Amino acid sequence: MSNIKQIITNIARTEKHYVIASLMARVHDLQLCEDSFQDALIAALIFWTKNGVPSAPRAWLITTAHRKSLDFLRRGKNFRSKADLIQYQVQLNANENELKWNQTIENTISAIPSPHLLSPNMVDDERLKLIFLCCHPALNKQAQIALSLKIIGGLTTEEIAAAFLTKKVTMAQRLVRAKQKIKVAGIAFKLPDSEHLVMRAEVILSTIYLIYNESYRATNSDSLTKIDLAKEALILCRTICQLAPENAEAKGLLALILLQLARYEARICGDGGFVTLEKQNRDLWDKDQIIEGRDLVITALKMQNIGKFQLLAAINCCHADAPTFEQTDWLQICLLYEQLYKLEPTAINQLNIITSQSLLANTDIALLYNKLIQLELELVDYQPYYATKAELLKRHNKIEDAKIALDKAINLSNNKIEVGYLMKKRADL
Amino acid sequence: MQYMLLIYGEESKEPEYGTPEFEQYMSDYFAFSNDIEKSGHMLAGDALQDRNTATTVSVRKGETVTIDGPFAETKEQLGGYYLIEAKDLDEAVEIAAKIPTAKHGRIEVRAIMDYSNS
Repeated sequence: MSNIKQIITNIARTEKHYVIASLMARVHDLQLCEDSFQDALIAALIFWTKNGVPSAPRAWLITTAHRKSLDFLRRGKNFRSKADLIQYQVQLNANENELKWNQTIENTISAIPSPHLLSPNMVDDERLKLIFLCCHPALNKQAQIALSLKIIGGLTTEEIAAAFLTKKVTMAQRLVRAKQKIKVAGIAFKLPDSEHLVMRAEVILSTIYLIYNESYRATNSDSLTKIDLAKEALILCRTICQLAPENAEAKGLLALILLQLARYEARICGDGGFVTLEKQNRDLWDKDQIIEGRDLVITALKMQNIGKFQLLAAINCCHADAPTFEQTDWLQICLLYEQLYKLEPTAINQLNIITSQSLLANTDIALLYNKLIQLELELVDYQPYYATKAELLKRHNKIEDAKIALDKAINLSNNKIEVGYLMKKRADL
Repeated sequence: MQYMLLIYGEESKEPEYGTPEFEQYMSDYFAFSNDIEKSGHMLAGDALQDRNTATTVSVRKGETVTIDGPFAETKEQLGGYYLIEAKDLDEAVEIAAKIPTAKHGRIEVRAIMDYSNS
């Protein structure tokens, strides 16, 4: 029994978006699809315990969920007619509307084709449509993130709320609102037109990147990284790469996530603290993830459609390839950051150029420092700015000024482990 | 589906009456209305009189109260609308983006409630 429960819990996560995608093709109501899927899982618990897990659990779930969706529509009709019956006694002219509503329901039900096993390509198309739906630009970013994790990632509302340190009720409201908007504002379940495809794919990738970033930065959190969200982002990105193999940026993002996750173990020390790239034990880096990440970067770059994620992945590749921190190809990293700056001329990218230039041999520290302080106005709230400033001041032997810069960095950080690291750095001055 | 496109503009950003820019602005509107009429999207559309001429009405305790002026004093004010037929939100947004005021103001896109479906 508990074994079946575990199997169903696992299947629920991995199969959810397949089932929802094939239901959405027939019933354009995300809430109804989710409810039907939930009911199909309850049915699975009963039947699979008795008869064992079917040979094609996905097909079983799709068929069952489809039947459940029809039940929901009919039950909705019954509820509606009863409610209207009561209303009828009060208000006699309710009759006409009721008739109209019953007809709509019957039309909806008869318009739904009976389920059949979709061909693999068709399922892929439906899954892609579902991802485009969850990341529609008419939904705000928070809603896109929550929907993607709920519908595609198969996480529960509690899990998502916990990952983002919000209350369950807040997350539930956010999800309900998003699903309601899709339904009533007429956000279509379809692939975008070819002229909008690139922009729409960017929206999906930026949503995945935000999910990943949330895990990496772990804002306000005591533990350095929330690895679960990182894994979710990885799974979502793999799905996109599989469904859109011609998208070089999707490969770039997948490579970026893999190359950074490869350093996960080395980033955490025994006491749960935070190890900088410089001090990491490179033997702890995950070789398989690095190999896969590097291959992806190479494949993506060959597609000659350079983008932000490919450049960031290539930078991480330079780190992964260096046997020691000192032997890192900083010049290559500088050039990549300069490319990135051309795509996105932001102060943060400028800061990254300066930081990597400071690690080159024979650097003019005074010149770099002058360039750096010109960014201060724009990066006044950005903790890494003050960390770099402190480093440059230290190398200039201005220890007191370096301490002031580190104090600013400490004030701006809301991650306890990062604060610990910065404090240690300050004490070492 | 039916969508209401509500046109919000800022008076200070609109071309001044009598200038060549104003002429252009109006002929852009004319062309846009013509286009969506021909394509079959247009159901209705009008410009509204200046917001200074608005009257806001409410009924409290059975009494009708009128206020001389618009409901909300904001920079961007409702200046007109189109009621259109579009197959989904994407198409409605595409049409809204072609409204001349979208270049300096904002267009709010709202689906018309469908009682047969709720």
